[in-house]
Order: sequence, then structure tokens, then C-alpha cells
Amino acid sequence: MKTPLSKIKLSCIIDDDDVYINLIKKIIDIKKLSENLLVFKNGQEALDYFKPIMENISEENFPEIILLDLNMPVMDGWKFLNEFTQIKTKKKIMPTIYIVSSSINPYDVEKAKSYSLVTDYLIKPIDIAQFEALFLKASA
Amino acid sequence: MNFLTQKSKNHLLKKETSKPPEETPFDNFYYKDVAQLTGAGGWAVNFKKKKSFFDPQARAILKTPEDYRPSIRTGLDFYTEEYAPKAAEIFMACSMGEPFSTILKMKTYEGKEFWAKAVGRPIYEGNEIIGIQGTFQDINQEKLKEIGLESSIKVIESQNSRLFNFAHIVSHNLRSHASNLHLTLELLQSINSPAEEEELKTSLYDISLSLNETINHLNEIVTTQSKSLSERKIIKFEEVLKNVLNSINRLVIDTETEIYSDFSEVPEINYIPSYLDSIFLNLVTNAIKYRHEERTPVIDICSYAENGKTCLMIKDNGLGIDLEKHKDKIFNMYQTFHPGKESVGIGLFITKNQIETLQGSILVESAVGIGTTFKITF
Repeated sequence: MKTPLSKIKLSCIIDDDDVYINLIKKIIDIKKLSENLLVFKNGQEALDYFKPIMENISEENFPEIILLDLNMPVMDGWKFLNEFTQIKTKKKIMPTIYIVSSSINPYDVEKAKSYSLVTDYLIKPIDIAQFEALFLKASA
Repeated sequence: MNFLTQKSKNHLLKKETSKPPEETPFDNFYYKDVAQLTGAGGWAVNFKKKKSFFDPQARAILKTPEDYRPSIRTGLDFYTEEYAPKAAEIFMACSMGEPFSTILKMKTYEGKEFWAKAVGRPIYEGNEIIGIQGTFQDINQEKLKEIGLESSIKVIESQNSRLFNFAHIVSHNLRSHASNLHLTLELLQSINSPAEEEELKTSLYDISLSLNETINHLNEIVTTQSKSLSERKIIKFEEVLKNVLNSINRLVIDTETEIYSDFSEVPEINYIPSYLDSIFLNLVTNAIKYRHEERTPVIDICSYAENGKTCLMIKDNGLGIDLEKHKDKIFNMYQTFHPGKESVGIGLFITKNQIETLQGSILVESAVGIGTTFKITF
């Protein structure tokens, strides 16, 4: 079976839904979409990881694609985006951030557009083909 | 009747109808009719003569005895304690030349309170202010309706926002399960190892469990909304707490939680028993669940009366919540604030629902690392 050569070294999911995380892991594994995957259960965990990396500019450990959920305990997706944009960096790191949420609230969709960091707003359910397309686009 | 009011009425009448002055009796009749129709009474104070006047309608509204003689000294007696200072201020300003138009609470000679609309202006003699005069109107019925309407609007607004929250949660949660189901089935089609197939089947089982759980939560909420019509009973706070502590006995012992209660000020309440049980259970278990690991959990519970209403306070020394960050969300559904606590985020949503369904309110005060206090007004 021919599989596309994995171009993404590191990807990241920020989501509190365990079932969803396991499924994404499987998809990435089967389709070889990314060599490594970072998983954070909420915005705070992700921020704690990203902050030191970004302040010291080591691009190596920085994911090329981030799939961000909105509804999470402790720190939700919005708060994460706000804090993330506040991080001071010497060199510009531009990850591709996708919001992947079950919320069809038009308010959320509009709000996502106001963040220049957010590439797109995707509403669950998303199928395997869509995930594949996202990863290929980010690696291009 | 004060002659100045009469004079201006006459004047008005003349202007409007051009009636010759001979028809004064009709003027009087007209004035009485207007006064009765609008329920407006007139008064005047003459500083020069040191005299106060009430017209018959004012006397009728204030239910003064036949021989009652108004005076500057007792004028403020017709305003409620709350509004007397405001009235004094207005009259003072009026005697300096400032007319007024306001709404305040007055009371009759017998002490019955009512809402009144009042207008007044200074009386001039040349350039000198020699007194003040005005009219007031009993608008109690209207004002009470307005107040009632305002509180209905508040109730409806809060119900509306709950419904909105509810609708989005339903859509959101069912959607995430549907999404997971879809992905699992897709994956099942594209794999060929039996071990992985087994794993995905487990996740199908998990999805079905979470779906059922979501539906159970929704059921709980729907029951809350429809139960509001069931019967209230006189319940003793002490007993409710005892029952709740019995049901979470294990949790209390394991965590060595100390619970202190004082219901002596207001020992009982007329409420829906199942609601009160659930309110106590939710707040007490929350207080234990979010305890501070470094100290013995202590919960203080007391009932008290405030502004004629029964209130309940539940105070803990737990983790606390950053209200700056989470204020709007704390009572929303599926909002959890502490990681790894097996929180579902439904307890406070239901608690607020139950309290508001019975026209009460719940407030929260909290400081991170110090504790949280919930105050309920029933």
C-alpha cells in the first residue's frame, strides 16, 4: 500500500476528549501524517509547554500544525489563543492553527475570524480525508 | 384648595374654552373632576404666612382627619423613611427656585405606603420666593405593575439565557459524540489488524457510554425545569443536611472533612424538598471535591434572614476559583475549572436552575487558594 511520505515532524492536539484524541492518534498513525504528536488536555497544559520554547526560540520542538478545541476545562481555546499571542518571541514562529470544535455557535465562528493566527474553523465531525488534507496543506 | 392652583386652573380654562368668568362654579366642578380622574392632590406652603395648605383631593389621598391642619413641620411625615431625606432635599432646592418632577414613596396619615408622582415649583411674589406648591398623584397601582413587570423580565431573561446555554450544549455534545462515532467507523473500514479492530470496538463502547451519560444529564435538566410545579413543604435545614451527609458519609470520612452548621436564625423553609436536597448535595460535594490538599477541609453552613428573605450560606476553605477569569462561566453547563477532579460541570448549572426556577438567586465569592462561599437567597 502506498502511503504519502510524512513531511510533518511534529503536530499537536489540544483537546479534552479522550476518545477523539485516540482516534486522531490512529488516523495520524495509519496515514503517516506526522512523525510525532503532542497531546494537551487543555489550554493551560499547552501554554506551559509552548511558553519556554517560544521565548528561547527552539523551532525544533515547535509543532507545525495545532488542532485546537474550544470547550476545555481549566483554560479554554479562546483563552489559550489570547495568551499565546501575548508570548514575546525574538523570531517569528508561525504555526498553522486550526480550531476544531463541535460548536456551531455563529458567535464562535465569527470570533475565530478575528484571530489572524487561526487558519480555519472546522466543525466536527471531520472525516479522515479532511484530516489528511489539513496535514498535507500545513506541510506544503 | 389652594388659591394659586385654582387661579392657574381658571386661567388655563379661560384660554382653552374662552368661557366668561361668570361660570366659576363650572370651573370648580371641572377641577374636581380632573383631580379625581388623575388622583392628583394639591398642596402649597407659604413661608411668609407660615402656612401650609392641602386641597380636598390631597386630603383624600393622604386620608387626613377632617380637622387635620398641615404644617411645614409635619410635612415630611407623609414620606416614607426611605424617601423623606430625598423629599427634604427636593423641597429645599425648590424653595431656592428649582422646580421638580419626581417619583417617590409617600404614606398616608394612617401610615399606608404608596408610590406617588410629584411635581412642584416655587411661588413668586415679584422676584421673591414666598413659598412652594405642587401636586402629587397616587400611582401605586401602576408603579407596582411596573416593578412586577421588571422582575418578570429578569426571570424571563435568565430563563432565556439558560435555554440558550442548554440548546448549545445539546448541539455541542451530541455533535462531538456523533463526530467520534463517525471517525471510529471510518477507521474500522481502513484498518486490517484484528488487534486494532478490537481497540476501535472498545472506543465504540466508550462513545455509547458517553452518549448515554449526556442524555442522562439532559434528562436531569429537563426534570428540573418541569418539577417547578410540584409541591413545596416546610423543611428543616438541619434534616436536609443530615440526609445529605448520610448519603455522602464515605466521602466525608475519607477526606476528614469538618462540617459546621448553624440554622438557629432561620431553622426551616417552605421549599420543594427534592430541590433543597439537591442544592445541599451539590454544594457540599463540590466543597469537598475541590478541597485544598494541604489542609483539613472545613465547611461552614448557616441560614439567616436578609431583607425579609431566607438565605443560606455555604463556605469552604478549598481551592477557590479565579472569578476574574471564570465569572460568567461558573454556573454554565459542562464548565470545569480544576484538572483531574472527575468534574462533569453540571452540578452548579442544575443548582442555579433549581434556585432560579423558584425565583431565588445564588451568588459566589471566591479567592484562589483560600476558599469559596456560595450565598443563596430563596
